[in-house]
Amino acid sequence: MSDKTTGTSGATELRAAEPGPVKPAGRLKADADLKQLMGKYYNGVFWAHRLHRPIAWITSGAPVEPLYAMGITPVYPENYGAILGSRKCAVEYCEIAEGAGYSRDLCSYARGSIGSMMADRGPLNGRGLPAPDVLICAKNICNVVVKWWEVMARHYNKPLFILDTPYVPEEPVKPHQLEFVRGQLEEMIAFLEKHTKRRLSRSRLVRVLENSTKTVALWEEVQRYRQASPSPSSALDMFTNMAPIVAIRGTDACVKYYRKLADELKERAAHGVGPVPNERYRLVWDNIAIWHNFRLMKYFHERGAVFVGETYTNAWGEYSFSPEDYKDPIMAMARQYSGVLLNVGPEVRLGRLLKMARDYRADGVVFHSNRSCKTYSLSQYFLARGVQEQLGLPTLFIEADMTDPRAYADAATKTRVDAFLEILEGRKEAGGVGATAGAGAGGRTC
Amino acid sequence: MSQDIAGRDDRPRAAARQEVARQVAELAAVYADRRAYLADAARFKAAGYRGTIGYFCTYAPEELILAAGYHPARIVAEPGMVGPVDGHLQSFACSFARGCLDQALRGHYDGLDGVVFPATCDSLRHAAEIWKRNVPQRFFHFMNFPSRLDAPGVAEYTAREMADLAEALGAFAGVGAAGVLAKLPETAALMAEVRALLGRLWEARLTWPLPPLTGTEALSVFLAGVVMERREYRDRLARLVAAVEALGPGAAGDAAAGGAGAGDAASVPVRLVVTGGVIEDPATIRLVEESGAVVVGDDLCTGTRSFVTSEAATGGAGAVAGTAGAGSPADLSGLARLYLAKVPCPTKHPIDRRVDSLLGTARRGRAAGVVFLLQKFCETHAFDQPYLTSRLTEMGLPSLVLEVEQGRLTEGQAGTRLGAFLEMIAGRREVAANGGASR
Ligand code: SF4
Ligand code: SF4
Repeated sequence: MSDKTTGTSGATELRAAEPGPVKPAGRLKADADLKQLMGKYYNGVFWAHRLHRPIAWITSGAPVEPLYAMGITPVYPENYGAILGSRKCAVEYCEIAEGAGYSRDLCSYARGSIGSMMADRGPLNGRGLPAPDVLICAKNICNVVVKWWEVMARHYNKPLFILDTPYVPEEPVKPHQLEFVRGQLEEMIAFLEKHTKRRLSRSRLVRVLENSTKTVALWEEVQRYRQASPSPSSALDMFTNMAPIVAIRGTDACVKYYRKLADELKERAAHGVGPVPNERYRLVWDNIAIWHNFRLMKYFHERGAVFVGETYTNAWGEYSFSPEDYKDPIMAMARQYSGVLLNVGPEVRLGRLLKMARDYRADGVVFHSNRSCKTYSLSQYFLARGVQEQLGLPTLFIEADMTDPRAYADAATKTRVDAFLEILEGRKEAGGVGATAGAGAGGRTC
Repeated sequence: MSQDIAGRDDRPRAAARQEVARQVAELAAVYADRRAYLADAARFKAAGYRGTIGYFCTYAPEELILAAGYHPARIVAEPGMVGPVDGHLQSFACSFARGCLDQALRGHYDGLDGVVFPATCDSLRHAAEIWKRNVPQRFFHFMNFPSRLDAPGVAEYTAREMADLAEALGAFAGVGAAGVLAKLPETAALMAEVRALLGRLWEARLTWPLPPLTGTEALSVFLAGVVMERREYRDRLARLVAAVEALGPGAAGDAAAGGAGAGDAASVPVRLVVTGGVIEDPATIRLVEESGAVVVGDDLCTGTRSFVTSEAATGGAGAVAGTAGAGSPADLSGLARLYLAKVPCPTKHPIDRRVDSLLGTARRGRAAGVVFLLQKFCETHAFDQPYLTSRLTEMGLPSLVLEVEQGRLTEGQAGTRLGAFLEMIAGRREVAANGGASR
């Protein structure tokens, strides 16, 4: 794993020798491919029924591999929720759901997608998402999805499958818990076969899993290039570029795309090109993006701060299967899908965060305290203390909501960002560096 | 001469009713002073306990805590402002989870030897992790109670999770899992008795023309039972049930008028059912009843859902949990089946048994309306509410949604809305009485 990063450290040295201000890199070339790829995916979604392909509405944390292996089109209401956010129309749809009695305190992905479903309207083709034939929900990310999927299954009166994954405070998952998940995965396959009249071929499943593994390896490679200074990409790029690994993981097109993206970042890293060429502060972002306000990211960039890692995008690097796993792919899926970021205990999450901060030589960690997503947000105070105590890094909390701008105050947030960057600057001047400086550097919450 | 609503001499009834009220008041006092009760270590020692272990929710098996020789004390919050929790949990976490954690962080639960958290919602799972790290207790156990109650092998899986708990408790108590399991039949029988008695009270409230207890009283009775030493509670409960049964169901002719729970024959209260999460303050129900209603049934964590199977709630053949239907479990697979058969909470899937239980309770209680008491920021209840409301509407029942924050209804607003709700119900009755539009 580590030898792949040698090119990166070479890039760091190369950069260090470069003089003067450089123009920030524009958008990634791969963005055009990304647009096309996701456009094609959504076209496939909107055409699926006409092509007699069954549609499954599925959660982001659910095992999608059996679906691809069976020729079932997965549709991600969460991704759709994010689209509503980035197209700045979430409030319009959330309000439809709120009008139907769904509390404004509920996850805004859920509210937005329920609103779009109820009105059968949406930004992609004027209508909402095409109706599901079946619904698949894994509890491994939150309890919210279980309730949300129940709402949608009732609306369409379609069969719903829930995959119940026990909480894993500390890894590894206990054997009887794995058995419990495995039994349900087998049931899930039988459920899909029954309701879509398609059969799962084991060899096709293994092929899809192999693609997932390749995708994950490429995704990790993409992320590793961000260890370079300046980082060849920022959270802005990565939040949008994670769409394929969520939605079309396991397909050939996905593998191809990330190969291309990895090559581009490698190239950028080698030439010291990045969105913040005069990079002064390297930051890690915790939680989902603020989809309705990417300007905030630019605000950081303009002040010399770049996000070199995000726990949210990093989480996708955790799914991978080894050849050993292919002997019992169901058990391997049971293990993989039980240990996802939002289903593990705070210590495990902290460990992953600290590793990221170290690997990416972060100067600070920014926590998006996301009102919508309790499962992601409620351990952040613990994580922040861990970051401060164990790495001596300053942390910043941003109060917002991933898609609902009504829970966000821009001016106040920017003031806090300024104050935070001042602290980072003070530390730089005092000779403190990033996470590699080790513990005891006296960080504090801003 | 004192008369009941139907004009009959109600002096014997009034005396019996007074006895019931007296007993209820005693139990309510124990709950109100629960910190002192639980702090009295000598009491539990004298009763043969090793100590006290706190627990959350309706899914923590009290039988096992008892079988390990510990007194099980349910964790509830005290209404009011919160403080230290703000350093650990954001303000948008469920207000019940925040309230409980806040008290623990203030040291209110330092007297406990440990705590058991069963898996329910995201907020409580995070609260558990914070508790584990910040509350100085010697025993902590998170039990992965399933979310999906119909998964293949769910009973075996639940029994296995209970076995892990038995093992942890056994190790802590120094008796091993075998020591815990040896005691299980005895403690399960005790809890079965408690549940059966509670079941009789609840049935009386729900089905008698004159509910023998107000909802406020019933909640106090229930809450006393999650604090008190269980044998003492069982004995007190048995006396209360005897007093209630001496009171009798009241006159069938009064059914239409509802029952005068507090012996207040002058008023004609509206029969209501309440549904929601943890209601830890009887004053919350009092506020609902003050407007001229009597709560005859509930679907609350601190009520029906703790001790009634969904089969019993719908009036089916299976009796109240712990009695005929499920029996008194002698082993973990029986215990697992018992807990899986309870009226499901909204964190569990599928929803059908939950819906049937609520509708069944409303139907059997001849409720005129249903009041939702939702904890601020509780996602699972909030997700279910629009659907439950629509199902109630289909059966002709109006409902009202009120929010509970930090253990309290926002009084002014809740009072006004309740008043309007009851007026609307009265209006419907009048229309119906005048032969107007049918429901
Ligand atoms: S609560 Fe969080 S994890 Fe769950 S669906 Fe909403 S955003 Fe996703
Ligand atoms: S009230 Fe809701 S959010 Fe709070 S602990 Fe209960 S189920 Fe969880």
